[in-house]
Amino acid sequence: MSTLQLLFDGLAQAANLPNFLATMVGVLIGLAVGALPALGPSAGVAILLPAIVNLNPTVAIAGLAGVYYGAMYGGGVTSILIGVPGDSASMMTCLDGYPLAKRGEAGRALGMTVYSSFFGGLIALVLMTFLSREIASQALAFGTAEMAALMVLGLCMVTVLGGENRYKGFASLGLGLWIGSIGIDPIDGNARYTLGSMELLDGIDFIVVIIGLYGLAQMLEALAETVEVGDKRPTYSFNSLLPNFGDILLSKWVILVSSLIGFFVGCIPGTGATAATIFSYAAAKRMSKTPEKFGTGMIEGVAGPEAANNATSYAAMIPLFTLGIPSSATSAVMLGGLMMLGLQPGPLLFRDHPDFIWTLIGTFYIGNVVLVFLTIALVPALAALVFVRMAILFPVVVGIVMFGVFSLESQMFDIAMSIVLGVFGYLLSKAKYPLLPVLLGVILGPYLEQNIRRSMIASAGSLDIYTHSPLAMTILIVAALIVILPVVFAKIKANKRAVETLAP
Amino acid sequence: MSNRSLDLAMAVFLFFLGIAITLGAVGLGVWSPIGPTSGTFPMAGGLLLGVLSVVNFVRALRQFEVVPGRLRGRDALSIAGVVVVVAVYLAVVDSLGMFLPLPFFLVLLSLCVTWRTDAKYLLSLFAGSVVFSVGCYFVFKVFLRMLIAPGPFGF
Repeated sequence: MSTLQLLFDGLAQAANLPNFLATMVGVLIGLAVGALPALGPSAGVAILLPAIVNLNPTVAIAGLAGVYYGAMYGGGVTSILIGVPGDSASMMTCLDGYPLAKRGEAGRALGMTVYSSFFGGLIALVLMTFLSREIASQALAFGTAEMAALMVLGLCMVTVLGGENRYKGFASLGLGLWIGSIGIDPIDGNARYTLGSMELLDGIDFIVVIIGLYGLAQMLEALAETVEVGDKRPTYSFNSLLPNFGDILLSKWVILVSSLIGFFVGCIPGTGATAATIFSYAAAKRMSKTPEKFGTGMIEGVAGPEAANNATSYAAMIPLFTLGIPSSATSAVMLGGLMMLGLQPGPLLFRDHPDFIWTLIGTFYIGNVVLVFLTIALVPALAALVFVRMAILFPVVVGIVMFGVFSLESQMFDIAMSIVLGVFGYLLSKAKYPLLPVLLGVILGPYLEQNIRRSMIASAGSLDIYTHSPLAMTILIVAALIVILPVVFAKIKANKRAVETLAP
Repeated sequence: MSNRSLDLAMAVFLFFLGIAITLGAVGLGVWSPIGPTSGTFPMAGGLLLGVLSVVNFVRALRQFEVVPGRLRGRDALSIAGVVVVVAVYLAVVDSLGMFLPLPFFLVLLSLCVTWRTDAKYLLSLFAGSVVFSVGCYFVFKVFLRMLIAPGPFGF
């Protein structure tokens, strides 16, 4: 069956009432999550994970994905109207969006946010539709050795590219691998690090880890943040939100280039939407005839980052669905959601569950269109969300988290564990330890361990299974280079600087 | 407490955790004639954690990397308050169920975030918490049919 035929079937399935409703609810929650300064997309998706346990997988993931890309739209609204980014991916939108709003052109900036996000999303979706199937079919040739090597590569990329300090990144990864190993060893049956506790025999549920580290830790961080919002809110008319074709034409190349930047950055594990928006803003500035005016309210400065961050959210699904490697914190949380529903992301997902995957892609297209109308209609409500006090938001989120965590296994122990992990995640984050490697260690670690151990048992303890596979060896060498090269380059740079300092 | 001190303290904690993990892994066995065993992967994690914590400690000590900011006393107190309130809630759930103490729990959590004791504020906070608790009852107990510990009044 051709890709287009599969896509049309997927769109038809996505338009079914349950899938459509899940997409609508997901994007609505996502818009709110994006607008609330205390919650980012990863925290939003993490907190909602327990709510999808009993749902049909397509409905569940359509809703979760809706939260993800909905948050990308929502973040832009508060960036423009109040100068407060809802999440880090919306920071660059503030630079020109807020000055535009202060100049009385809030509607123009908001309109551009919506349309550039739409076009960015659409371009990424089209690329995703045609590339994912191809990547998945190529990846079907991967055996256990190649898949294990690929997991190692993904973990290395996320750890090296995802944080400021790679030493802390790998320490976090070590921590995650250990947490993932707690419980009964599925191969030998030994109890590992259970401290005699019955509750720990099954290990620590990765959903509890996700909720603790991403949901609660982010909320605890938000407790210490004060949002500075001016008294005077910019005004705009509904008409000003309608498409301004002059602006769209003016920014067409910026939108196209930024969408492509967002797409390719989004496919690389560890980079994320924030990096894509920074690159796209720089590209928009370079393409402009008046780069010196950037930062004072240039419409292209809004178009670029918004197109890029939305393209990133869809592009992140490609490595997740085709290879089982998440490229960002939110896609790592979604990986947890997929596994919780009994689906193993990777090339087999396209072969064994084509209905699921194409319906899901269909919901992405529908969600991207729905978001244009919803965002325009809900701008006033989204702008008001930033004024919700932490004294109200915090107990509500903690209450939902507690019931959600309890619903997993009906154990109070899980609630206590999520709180402990939340506080620990907060302290780790304060000390600048990235949390994504911990999470990936917990989620991917057990799979990596089982893959390696089973393959080595099959080859009677020999490493030949890896050394005899050119593809696995190539991937492992690339992984090693990703770890080693930054250290070498940093050393060369430091030596050069030392020589320059000594030079007369 | 400055974040630099926190960074140093975290490196020390993670170093000892790494040592404990590695020793535990050795007890489980790290290699057999047919390859890795139960202890191999935890040992890799423990070694990674232990060795890199030393690197991070030295980097923080010699100020190769200075983590900016500080953990303010007020924030630490808020977080400690949240932990205590959750611990108390978990302790009373067995006898009072999950829903009955929920409004009080929410009010206390809110007070951990913003300490205000004027009667009007507390009353509105409590009213909001009761409404939220009733909402939770219908969503989690009635709609999602979760198995939730009942209190003395059956809910």
